[in-house]
Amino acid sequence: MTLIPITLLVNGEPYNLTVPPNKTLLEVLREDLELMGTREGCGVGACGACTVLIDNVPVRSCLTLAADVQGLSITTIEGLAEGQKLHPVQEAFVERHAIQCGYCSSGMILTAKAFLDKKKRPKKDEIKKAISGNICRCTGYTKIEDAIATAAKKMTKKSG
Amino acid sequence: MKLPEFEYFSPRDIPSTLELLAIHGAQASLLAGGTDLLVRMRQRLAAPGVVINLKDVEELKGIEKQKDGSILIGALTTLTELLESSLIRKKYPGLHQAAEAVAAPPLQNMGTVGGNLLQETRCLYYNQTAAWRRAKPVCFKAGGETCNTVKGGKHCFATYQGDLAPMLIALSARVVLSRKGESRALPLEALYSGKGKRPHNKDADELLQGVLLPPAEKNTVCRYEKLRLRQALDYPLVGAAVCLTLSDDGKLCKSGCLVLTAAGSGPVIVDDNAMMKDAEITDAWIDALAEAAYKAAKPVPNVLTPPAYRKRMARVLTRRALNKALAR
Ligand SMILES: Cc1cc2nc3c(=O)[nH]c(=O)nc-3n(C[C@H](O)[C@H](O)[C@H](O)COP(=O)(O)OP(=O)(O)OC[C@H]3O[C@@H](n4cnc5c(N)ncnc54)[C@H](O)[C@@H]3O)c2cc1C
Ligand code: FES
Ligand code: FES
Repeated sequence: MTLIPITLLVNGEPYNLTVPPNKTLLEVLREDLELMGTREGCGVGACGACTVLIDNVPVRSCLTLAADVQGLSITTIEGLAEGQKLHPVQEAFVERHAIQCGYCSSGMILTAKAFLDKKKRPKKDEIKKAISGNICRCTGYTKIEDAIATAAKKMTKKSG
Repeated sequence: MKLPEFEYFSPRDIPSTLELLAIHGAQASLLAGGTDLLVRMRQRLAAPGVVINLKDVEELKGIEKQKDGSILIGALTTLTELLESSLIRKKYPGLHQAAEAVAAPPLQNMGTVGGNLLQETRCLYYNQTAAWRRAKPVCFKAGGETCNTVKGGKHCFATYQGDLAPMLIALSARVVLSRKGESRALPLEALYSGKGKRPHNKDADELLQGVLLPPAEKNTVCRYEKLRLRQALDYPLVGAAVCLTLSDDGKLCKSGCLVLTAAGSGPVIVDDNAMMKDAEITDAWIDALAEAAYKAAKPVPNVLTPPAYRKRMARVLTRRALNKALAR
């Protein structure tokens, strides 16, 4: 297998790496960049725990080859906070107790963030649909939906 | 589990893709969104020696109106792009519905139209990890001599569970396949062999370039209905797509097509302009089509719900799709 040199732009930082082509973005993030916030759940696209944003669009990093996403802007959960200041979606998840074991949270929060960037005043149904590809085994989803609704308010207040 | 090893190419245009296919054909897999292929590779159901990434082939992306009014959907167009197209939403709402029914939004962001049509057939006993599969005899699809679904079955019964194909067939779509030096267009239904083991009539060195939709006719109504246990993430347990072209007064069905998915090893055409040609729209006619769907559906116990239930649901979904399409 021929190794390939790639440059990944993760949370605004460029990383030069040499990877085997069969390495997924999930594996590169966790093993090479030691960004452990991105989780592996099912490994086959069915749970959403591995969600990252590529050009602000939620995708499954377990089904993305690292070699395929060169030059694109990748956001992981580590890239949301600004210094000590959490992103409004993160704040809302904490305030509304939308995190229990936390395994789904990175994927949920990133999915919600991309959704709220597009949709300022989401309806409940739209929130449900936006996170319908992310599985949570703990919360029963209600608190997550509440947190996203709260985050929407925080974000519109912030941007005026 | 890691992906198996392969050599990787990422061509930037169609000619170099076709060239790579001509060289590596049989041992190569094309990678579009990867939401079908990479899952199978992880489960060691596929281990291509060469993977050709299509994501950088810009020519394969986008939705374009042709001079004759037909619409060309590039094979690499994602389902999200299809859903965001106002042309598709307005002129082909049935296709919009079918795309919306696929998996869930993040998978629609990745999955492509071409990959959806060319996704593999599936089976509860086959789409599992290698360790899981060791508990059962090697089945036809995995290269063995038995079927784990149908006792004594002489061939593979894996189920075709794509959501787009039934609607695109009902819309009389054609597909364009190319290999180095030649290109052919065929009706979408001809892409499906109906065989579980090798479900597509496509050679290893052929690229699916795109899907051609005939110009939207006035008075055409379409509807897709899908059975699944969860409202997201689930493949269809059975699905029904209908398209009807009505007379101006809405009393006659001038022409129409009804296609099922997850009812066999390929999309199942229940009626194509036979019962639906110049037919008066009555309750009895709807019942007859629903009954025909019930008869045509041949589900086997290789997805989550029992076949008898899915067969009955083919009838229910057909009636529902017709009633909704006709706004009855
Ligand atoms: C959790 C989950 C749920 C899902 N639910 C559904 C569902 O409800 N309905 C549904 O229809 N699908 C479902 N899928 C399957 C899949 O996501 C979609 O069908 C998707 O559209 C496949 O497209 P892709 O581009 O990702 O395919 P890929 O995996 O990239 O490709 C699929 C196959 O087609 C071949 N191929 C792709 N493009 C071309 C081309 N241009 N020319 C020649 N060959 C090509 C590939 O070599 C491969 O064999 C689901 C998948 C997952 C993981
Ligand atoms: S780990 Fe990627 S979807 Fe479950
Ligand atoms: S908080 Fe435990 S899986 Fe969601």
